[in-house]
Amino acid sequence: MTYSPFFATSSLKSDILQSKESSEISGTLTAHYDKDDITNTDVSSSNDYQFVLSSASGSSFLLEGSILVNNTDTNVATAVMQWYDETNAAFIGQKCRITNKIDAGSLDPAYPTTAIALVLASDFGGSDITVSLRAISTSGNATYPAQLTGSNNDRVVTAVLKILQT
Amino acid sequence: MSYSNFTDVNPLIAVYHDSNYSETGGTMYMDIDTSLHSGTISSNTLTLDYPCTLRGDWYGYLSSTQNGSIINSQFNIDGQDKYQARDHVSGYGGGNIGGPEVFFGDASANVNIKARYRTAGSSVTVSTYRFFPRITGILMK
Repeated sequence: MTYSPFFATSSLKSDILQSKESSEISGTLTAHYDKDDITNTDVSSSNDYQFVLSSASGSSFLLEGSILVNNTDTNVATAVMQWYDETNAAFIGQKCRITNKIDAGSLDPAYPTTAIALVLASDFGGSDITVSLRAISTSGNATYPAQLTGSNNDRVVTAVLKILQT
Repeated sequence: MSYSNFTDVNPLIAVYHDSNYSETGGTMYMDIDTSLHSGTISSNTLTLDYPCTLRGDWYGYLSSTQNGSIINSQFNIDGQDKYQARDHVSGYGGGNIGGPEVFFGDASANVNIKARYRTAGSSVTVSTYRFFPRITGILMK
């Protein structure tokens, strides 16, 4: 029998960032997350919405983020979000779609509710990559708060950005 | 430095409930009974020998379709609630909010890891399909 020199744990790093109120940046709804929650990964941010992935780390990054949609009337409001690679001016990864109403009788989600992007180490080309989570489209009259509180049982909904680094 | 035998240790975490089930209440801990790789389950509590990063979700439905019967899900790690998600089923026309349907948490080694639902009332029944709720994750250094 041979043994692989395999640690019992992975070398992955993880951060979970709590959402802040999302707002428009240059006319585009952009997700905001608390940059101060970054403690483990080689990701940096100076403004809570642009996240710089370190090229020098030699790592790959998996990003999974979402926002909250809170409509201001009784109609349906939606937001379709996708990660945007600002360095290379391209949308990347899988879109998410958040809607404020879901039929209780249906089996949801009909759409992913987190936007996922995988930035591989081979994608960097020697420079850092800056990403942000932007709206592809929105509908309805909505706000995009950091947190929503339910009427009882201390119910709270919080969107997060989950970062995994290899 | 020591190495672990790969055949004995796997850094993956995959935990779920191996049959459909229902439970009723206002705040309920999710039932889990099966661990495929790392992790020990006792009384719906998961413990791991190493720090880990976790992702949870579930798939099912509620007994109530009344307004406001939105359900929220979250991890409770070492007695502390983590960030919450809105889950798959909500009261149509109620709440008028939308949010993610997965929930996340990072945990230290050897702490009690639980996941729970919060409903809008005290008599809402949550029913899940087989293999849910589920928790996946990775052990970390």
